[in-house]
Amino acid sequence: MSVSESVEESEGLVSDLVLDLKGLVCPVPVVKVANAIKGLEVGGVIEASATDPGVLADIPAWCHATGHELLRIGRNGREFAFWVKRAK
Amino acid sequence: MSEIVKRAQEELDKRYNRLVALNASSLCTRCGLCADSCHFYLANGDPEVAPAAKTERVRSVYRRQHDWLSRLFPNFTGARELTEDELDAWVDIAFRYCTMCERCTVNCPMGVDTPVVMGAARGTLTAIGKAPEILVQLADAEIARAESIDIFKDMLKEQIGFLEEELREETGDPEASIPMEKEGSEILYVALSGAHTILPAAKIFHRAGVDWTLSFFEASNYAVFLGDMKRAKAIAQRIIDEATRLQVSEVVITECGHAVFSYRWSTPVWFGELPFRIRSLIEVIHDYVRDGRIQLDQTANPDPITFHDSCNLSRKSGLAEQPRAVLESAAADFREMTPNREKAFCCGAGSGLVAVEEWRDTRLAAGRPKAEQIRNTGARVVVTSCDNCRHQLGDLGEHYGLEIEVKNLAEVTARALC
Amino acid sequence: MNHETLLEFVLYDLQLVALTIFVLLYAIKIRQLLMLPLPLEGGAADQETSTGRAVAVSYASILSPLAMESTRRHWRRWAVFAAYHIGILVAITATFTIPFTPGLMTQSVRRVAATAIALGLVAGFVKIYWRLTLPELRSISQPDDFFGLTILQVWFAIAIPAVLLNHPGWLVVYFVMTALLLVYVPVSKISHYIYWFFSRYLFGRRYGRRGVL
Repeated sequence: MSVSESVEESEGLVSDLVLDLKGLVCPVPVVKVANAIKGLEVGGVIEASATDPGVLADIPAWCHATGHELLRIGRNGREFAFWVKRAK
Repeated sequence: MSEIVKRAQEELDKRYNRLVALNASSLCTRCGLCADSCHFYLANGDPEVAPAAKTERVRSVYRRQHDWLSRLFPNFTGARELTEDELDAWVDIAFRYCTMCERCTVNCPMGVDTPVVMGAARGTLTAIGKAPEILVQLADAEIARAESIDIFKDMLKEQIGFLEEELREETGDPEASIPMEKEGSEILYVALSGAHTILPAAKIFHRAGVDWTLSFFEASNYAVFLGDMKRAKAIAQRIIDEATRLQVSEVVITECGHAVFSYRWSTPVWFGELPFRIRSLIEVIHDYVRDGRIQLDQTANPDPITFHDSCNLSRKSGLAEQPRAVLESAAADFREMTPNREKAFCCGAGSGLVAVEEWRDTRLAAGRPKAEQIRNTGARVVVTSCDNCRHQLGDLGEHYGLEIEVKNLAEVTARALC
Repeated sequence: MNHETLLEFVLYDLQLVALTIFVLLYAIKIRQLLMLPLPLEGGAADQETSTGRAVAVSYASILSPLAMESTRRHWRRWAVFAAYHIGILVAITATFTIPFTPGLMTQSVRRVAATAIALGLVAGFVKIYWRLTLPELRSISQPDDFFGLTILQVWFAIAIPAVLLNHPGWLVVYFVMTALLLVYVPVSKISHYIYWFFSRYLFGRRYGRRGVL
């Protein structure tokens, strides 16, 4: 997996919830996503934006550990965006 | 006895070593002197969250099994049978209303080691699946990184690439780098995922001319909070293996209280003698300043600054003087909170509490003594060498209207670099 | 059995039997504790520290109420603790000096000892009052807390006239009560003082090694 050059590449993904994680540092973005995903139906998608590059390591690892699907992760300047689908 | 209670009892028995037995014995005289050393008790005055009351819940179950008098007359000694309701109550007692800060221990005339008892409870709850889910997920994510390092390597390198760009901009040195996988380096630096733990340290290493390399892994070890030492060892193993493979002379752990604590005091037990030493970034910065490897300009940090002692670092690891010595050189107006060092108050969110969103109100209330201490200093900047504390202090600032900025020691030092 | 024989029996034989049981019970309890594995502690602080000094500081904390925030803030509780435990120490010491070094028990020594025990008795009442009224104490108190306090109050109350008057009747009651206590203490929560020696040692060693103390 690699980082998309631009978040625009992720157009077409439909999100059920949008999270603004800008300004938050590890592990808070993961904590916020983990908490929010519990409120979605299986198959629901979270779209989140963050400024800490730590999400590039933390979010994929968390998805790997929990089984949720990381649909895409991308960078736009100094911001990062990612889409996670609730798997179970 | 239900299956889960039976399993919990077995897990408790497994943890019944000499330290647990001592602290679960009648060592506690139930004198109640510990009550107002605890930030949770100070927050709401509820006697049920006083340290003796919390440990007594767990102790009373051990007593039922191991104390002669309690086996014969449980009602007389207040000994309890373990039940599922009791286990559910322990989740609050051990994870929500105790940050294992040891402040009650240093205030106990008997020296009751509350975290030893709470650690047994936490480990038991984790083993039977009752630990807070997010802590388990974060610990699993740490292990997942090691198990699938090839998947994450590219992501990590891209992340570091972004930071390297910033480092070059800020140092003005186009050659400045954040090396990874550099064999034979003097230092393997283990940061957290956040840029604030990588960039300032990189600037300091750059200025000190140190030969260093950044770890692929983060310093934090959430399994320590879970009382799950098997998983904690597996998480620590990643760093030990990496340092061994790269043949570094020293592993430097970033400003993270529980990470420094566990790498300093637990790894020698888990892995025996290692071919490299393990230190905290605080000690390393201190030595660079002391030895003149970096020069600092106090005027770079003109605002009044105070220092919050992380329990894991000051009270539990004796790292209280080094950050103060650095701050005396890096800041123009350093002010102490009272009490401080090993007597300091916990930020109110240690041992993983900060990561449990559902308990946010609990930790904000428990942080009141700390917020009052900060307010009394009149400081505009609070420095702390623990990321857990950093999050909590930031939230306390907002919650209690403190108008403070929270920074780590490396950030303040990097800013003062001449 | 006449009075003199009875007194001799409780002063020597009964005490010896009770003390033997006391020592045996503690030996078993301590052996049980020491049979359990002690988790290892690794590492040592970089700065030069003395674990021996830290252990000494740890033990000395009992005598320095100002060193700890809890005892500094609650100095009345520390004062009551001190009076209570001095009373116990004197009452126990008297059970040895009366039969074995009677020459030491002059009238003035008896008066001083009885006063110390009386202060212990007063401290005991304060402790019971606090245990009943302070919320943080009441919530953790169990029947054996009150039982332990009560029997020690009775023991103090008997010890005062026994020590002061040296009257055979009081002495018999005092020594019988002491014998019963010697058997009860090791199995009860009153045995905390034995664990204190282990706990303060481990506390000092841990904080010494880590460079905290």
